[in-house]
Amino acid sequence: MFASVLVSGLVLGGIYSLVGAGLNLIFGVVKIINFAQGALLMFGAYFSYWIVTWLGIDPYLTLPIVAVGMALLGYLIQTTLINPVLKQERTSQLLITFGISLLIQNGALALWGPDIRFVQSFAGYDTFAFLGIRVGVSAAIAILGAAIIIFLLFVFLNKSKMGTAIRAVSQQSDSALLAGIDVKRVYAIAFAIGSAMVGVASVLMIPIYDIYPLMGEQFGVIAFIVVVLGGLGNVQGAAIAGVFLGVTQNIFAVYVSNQLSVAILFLIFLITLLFRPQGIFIRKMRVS
Amino acid sequence: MKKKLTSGLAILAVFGLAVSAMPQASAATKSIKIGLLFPTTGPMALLGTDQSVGAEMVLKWANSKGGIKGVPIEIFKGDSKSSPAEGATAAQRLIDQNGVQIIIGSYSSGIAAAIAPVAQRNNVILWEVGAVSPTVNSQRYSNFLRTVGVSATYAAADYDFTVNFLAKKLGKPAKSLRIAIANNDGAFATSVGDAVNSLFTKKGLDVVAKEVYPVTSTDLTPTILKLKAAKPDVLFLTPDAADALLFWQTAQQQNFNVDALVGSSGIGGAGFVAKFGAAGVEGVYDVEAPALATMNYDGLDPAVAALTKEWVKAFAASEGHPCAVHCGDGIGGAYTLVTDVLPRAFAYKNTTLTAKGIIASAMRTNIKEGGTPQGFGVKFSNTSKSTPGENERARSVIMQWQSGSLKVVWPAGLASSTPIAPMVTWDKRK
Repeated sequence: MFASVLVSGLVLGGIYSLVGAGLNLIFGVVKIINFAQGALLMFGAYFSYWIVTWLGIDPYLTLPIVAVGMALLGYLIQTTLINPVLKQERTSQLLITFGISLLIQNGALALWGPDIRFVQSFAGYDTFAFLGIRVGVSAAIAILGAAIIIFLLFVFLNKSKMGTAIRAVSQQSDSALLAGIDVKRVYAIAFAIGSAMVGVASVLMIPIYDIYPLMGEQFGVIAFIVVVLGGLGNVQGAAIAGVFLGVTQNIFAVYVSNQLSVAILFLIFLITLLFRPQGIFIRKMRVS
Repeated sequence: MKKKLTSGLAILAVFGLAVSAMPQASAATKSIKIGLLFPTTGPMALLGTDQSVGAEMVLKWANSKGGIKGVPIEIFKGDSKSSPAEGATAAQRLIDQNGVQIIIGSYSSGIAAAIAPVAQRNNVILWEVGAVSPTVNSQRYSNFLRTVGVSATYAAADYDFTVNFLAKKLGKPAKSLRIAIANNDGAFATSVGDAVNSLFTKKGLDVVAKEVYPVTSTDLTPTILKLKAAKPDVLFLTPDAADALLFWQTAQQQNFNVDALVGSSGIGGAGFVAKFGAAGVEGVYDVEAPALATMNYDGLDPAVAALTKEWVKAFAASEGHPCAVHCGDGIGGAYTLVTDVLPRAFAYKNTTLTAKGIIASAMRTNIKEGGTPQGFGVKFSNTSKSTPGENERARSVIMQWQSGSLKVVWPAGLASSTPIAPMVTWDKRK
C-alpha cells in the first residue's frame, strides 16, 4: 500500500505545485498577497466549462483560450484595481484582492448557481496500473502539464528579456525603475502570466475535480503554503514544496491520522513561518 | 431629591419601553410571519435550496387555501450562506426586521445549532426540517421542534436493512459481515457515522474499519486505500455533496469494490447520477428520509398522496430536477406545520398565535404513519424526554439507484422497487 500512497501523494503534490506556481509569480514579483487566487482558479474552471458546453470540445482543447483569457483578466485586474493601491498602505492591498475574490465568487454564484458541474475529457475516469499502483489518466496528464508549465516558466524567467525584467523588479523594484524598466507594466505582465498559469491549472484540474463556486477555496489556501514553503519567487522551490505537501498529506492520512491530514499542512505552514519565513528552498534555488 | 426623581423617571421609561416591546397577547394575529432560513449560497446551497423551495411551496399552498384559519402567511427568506455564524445573524435579522414568529430551517446541523439559541432567546420557534444531528438541541430548548429524524434513525434503518436483507442476500450471518464506516468530519456526517458505529458495535456486528476524512480534503485516495485494505463486504458512507462525487470517482480509479454501499446526502443527489451516469451508480444505496419523486404513494393517506404528487410535479417543473430527499424534508416539515400544528395553535388563545401556543399544539400532534408526504407519522417528544421536540415517529428509508432513478427499496411498506444485491463491480459497469 505504501507505494500507492506515495504515488497518490506525488500526484496530489503535482496539482498543488501547479496551483501554487501562478501565485508564486504574483507574490514574488508584485509583492501582493493575492487572496483572489482560489477564486481565479474557480473562474478559470467555469471559463473552460462553458467553452466545453457551448462548443462541445474536449476540455483540454480549451487550454489556449482559457490561458489567454485569464492572462487578459489578470492584466486588467492589475492595471485597473491593484496598481492604484500599490503605494497605499498594506491593508488596502490585502482588502482589494479579498474584494476581488468575493466579487468573483458571488458573481459565479449569482450567474451560475450553486450546482456542482463537471466535464469529461477523452480520458474519462480511466486509470492505468503498474505494479498494482493505480493512477487516473487525467491525474497523470495534470502532472505532466504541471511539469511542462513550471519548466516553461523557469525558462521564460531565466532566458527571456521580459523574464530578466521580471526578476529585476522582483529583486529590487526601485533599482529596476532607475534602470528604465516600466515597473507597473512588469507587474501587470507578471499578474497576467500568473493568472494564465491559474487558467492552465483550472483546465488540467476540471477532469479530476468538480466545478462549483467555492471549488477554489481550499486550493487557494494551499497555494499560499506552497509559496511560503518554497520561497517567494522560487519556481523550483515551490514545485518541490507542492510535491512535499502532497506526499506528506497522503502519508500522514494513511499512517497517522486521516482526519488531521489537512491540518498537518497548516502546521507545516506555521512552523515554516516561525523558523524559516524566507522558505525552505530559497537559498539553494533562488532565481529572483 | 432631583436625582431620585430622574432615576425614577428613567426606570419608568425603561419599563414602559419593555412593556411596549412585549408581544401583544390580546391582539388578534393578522398574519403569520414565517422565515425560511436555509443555506442558499455557499457549498451547502445545492441541497439547502431544495429544502427551502420545498417548504416554500407548501406555505404558498396554504395561502392559496386561505391561510391558517383565514390568517395569511407572510414568507420571509434568509440565507445562512452555509455558515453557522451567518445563520445566527440571519436568524436575528429575520426576527428583528421582519418580526417572524417561526423560522423554518436549517438543512445543516451546525447551522441549526447556531440558530437554536437565537430562536430561544427571542421566543421564536425553530421548526427544523433538515438537520439530523442529535446534538443540535443538546441545550433542550423548548422552542425547538424537529420533524425529520435524527442520525439514530439513519443508523436504525441501516441496521434493519443489514440484518434483515443484506445478510440474507449476501449469504452470510449478519455478524460475519465485514462492515466499514466512512464519513467526513462535518457535523452531519460525523453524527451519522458515529450513530451507525455505535449501534452496529453494540449489536455485535463486525466493524472492520471506521474512517473519518476532512471535509476539505482534496484527495480521497488515502481513505479509499485504507478501506480497500480492510476488505469490507458493506460500506456505510456519509459524505456531503462535493466529497460524495470525489469519493466515488476515487473508488472507481482505485477499483474499490464492495457488495453493498449504503451512502447518504450527496450519494442521493441529482449530481451523483448526472456525473457517473445510470450504469456508474447502479446498485448504490442511499439512507435518508424518502425521495418523494420515487417513493410508493400507496402507503400514504389518499389526500396527502394527491397533494404530494402535485408538489413533486411543481418542484420538478420549477427546479429542473426531481424532488428527492431534501425537497421532501422541506415539504414534509412544512406540511405538518401548516396542516396540523398551526391551526390548533390558534385555538390556544382564540385568534392569537404565540410561541407557547405553537409548542402546546405541537405536543398534541399525533399523525399516524402515512399522514405526511414523507410517509412517516409525527409525534413530538415532550419536555420530560431527554431530547424534547423530536419527532419520535420520523424514520429513514433505504433507497437504491436503479436504472438512473433513486427508488425506495426498504421498508416494504414504502418501497417502490425491490432491492438488488450484491452491487456490480467496476469492471462490469462499463
